[in-house]
Amino acid sequence: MIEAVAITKTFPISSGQGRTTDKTVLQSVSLTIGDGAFVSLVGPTGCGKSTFLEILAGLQAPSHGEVRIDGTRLLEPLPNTPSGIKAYRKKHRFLSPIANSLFRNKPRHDIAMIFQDYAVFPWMTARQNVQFVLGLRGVPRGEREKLARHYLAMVGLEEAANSYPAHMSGGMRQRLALARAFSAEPGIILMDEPFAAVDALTREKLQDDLVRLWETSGITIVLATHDVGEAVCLSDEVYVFSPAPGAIRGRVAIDVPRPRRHQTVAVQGLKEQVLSHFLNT
Amino acid sequence: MPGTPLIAGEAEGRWRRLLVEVRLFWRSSFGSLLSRESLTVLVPLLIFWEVLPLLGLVPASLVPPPSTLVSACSQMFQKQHLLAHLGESALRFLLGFALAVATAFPLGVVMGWNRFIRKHCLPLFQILAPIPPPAWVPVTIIVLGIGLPMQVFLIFLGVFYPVLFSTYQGISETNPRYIASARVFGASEFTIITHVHIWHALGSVIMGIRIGIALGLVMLVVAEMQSGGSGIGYLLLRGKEYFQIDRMVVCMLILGAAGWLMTEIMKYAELKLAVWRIER
Repeated sequence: MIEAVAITKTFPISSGQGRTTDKTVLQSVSLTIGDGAFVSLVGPTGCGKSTFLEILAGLQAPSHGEVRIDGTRLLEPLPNTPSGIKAYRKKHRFLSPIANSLFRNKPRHDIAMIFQDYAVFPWMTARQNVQFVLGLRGVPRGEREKLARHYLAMVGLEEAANSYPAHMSGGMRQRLALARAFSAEPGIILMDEPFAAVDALTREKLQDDLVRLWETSGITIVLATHDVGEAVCLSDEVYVFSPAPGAIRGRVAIDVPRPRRHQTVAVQGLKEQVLSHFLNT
Repeated sequence: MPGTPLIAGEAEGRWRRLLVEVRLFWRSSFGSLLSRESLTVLVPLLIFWEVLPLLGLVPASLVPPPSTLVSACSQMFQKQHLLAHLGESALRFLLGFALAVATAFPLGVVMGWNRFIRKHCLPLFQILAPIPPPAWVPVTIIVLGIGLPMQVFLIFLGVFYPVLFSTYQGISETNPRYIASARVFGASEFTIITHVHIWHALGSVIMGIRIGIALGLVMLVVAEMQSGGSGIGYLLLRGKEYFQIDRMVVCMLILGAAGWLMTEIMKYAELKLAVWRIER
């Protein structure tokens, strides 16, 4: 279960002449996501969806508010007094707040994240990418290859196991990112506009496969997207974000049975409902 | 026959694979000498070089033609123990080079990885690095004498800074997305360095090593000219004293060839280590 309570994020932005102003990216966002749900966050580009996902994953600390995953808090909130900032910097001199330890891998079973630009390692083959994550999880060396093959087959990549990402299409890279995320056996997968960079036909196929994988695995998925159709077709719940600073404009529950097609009346109606949150303000 | 184990053939296959690699390396690095394109500039120039002194247009004593160089080279092998000198120079270079890479690379990695360490180390190197390495010669001679330590130290100075700066630059420019994705999976800082940073910085590290090789060769010649006694730089200087231009040119060509060979080895290493970067 993900609980985000009044998340606010501000970034200092230099406005020339050596002065900095604070830019608010997220304005007190609160939401609760239950186990096994498929939730979409819809908003225009630059509304802070990505920042929000990174805060959920514990890659960034919120300026105010806190995130709890299954009741435990991921990151300490950022200090806002000068002495607090100084102490914080000193504490994280050698280890970033996100880092786990210097030498010991600490596999996480709570969250995996998929980035828009894939972020699969280009210097590893598809199999090595998955094996890297399996290795972090502590899977013995001898079993990694077999398991990696299993996860690659799950996303339909068994043929490309020995290719490097540079030799794959965008859709295949995204599949690999998916396989890598699943191989960490997380409870939650956060996806940051995963299908934005692939062509429309590939996207349809990837979306179908994602829903199939989600239905069989019982993993919670949080998907950030700017595509209303994608959000409505895939998820149980859609949260609508306003343009910057991001705040939740509305919530639309979707209970159309799967598989859903864009052209059906129910989906069209829900798309209108999501869009109305953007337009009627 | 597919699937049949061939124990005797396996070793043979390994040798054949090695041969293929060597041939590939040879062709990719020195193939340009034998290409048809070399006929337009290099070969005519060599012919001119040979013919002009023969025709008496330039004095043969100042411009020794290639044929003289070949005989000078064989003379040097016989009378001056060229091979022994070459060995001495190679030993010095390798010592200085290995020492520099073994210190600069880890330091660069640590400096690129952590801002705190970088901030504390960088000022020192920013002051020391711009000093031209030959300017170190007088102080070094006084402190270390003119033996092997001085030669190795001077070569070390030439190689150290290019490797350090390019390593640290490459490491610190690692795409934060890759680091973030490794962190989300729970990788430790050490794992991130060995599996993400170093691979991302590979091209830049090899670039630094190549610049280091060039500067190291410069420092090798400088050091050997100062210390005297042995080495290719010493032979070069002695050629000047006896006005043997042909022998000096042979030394120059050997140094050039050594630099070329080492650069090509690094290029080949990069090619082999970075297969993943080649777009189909």
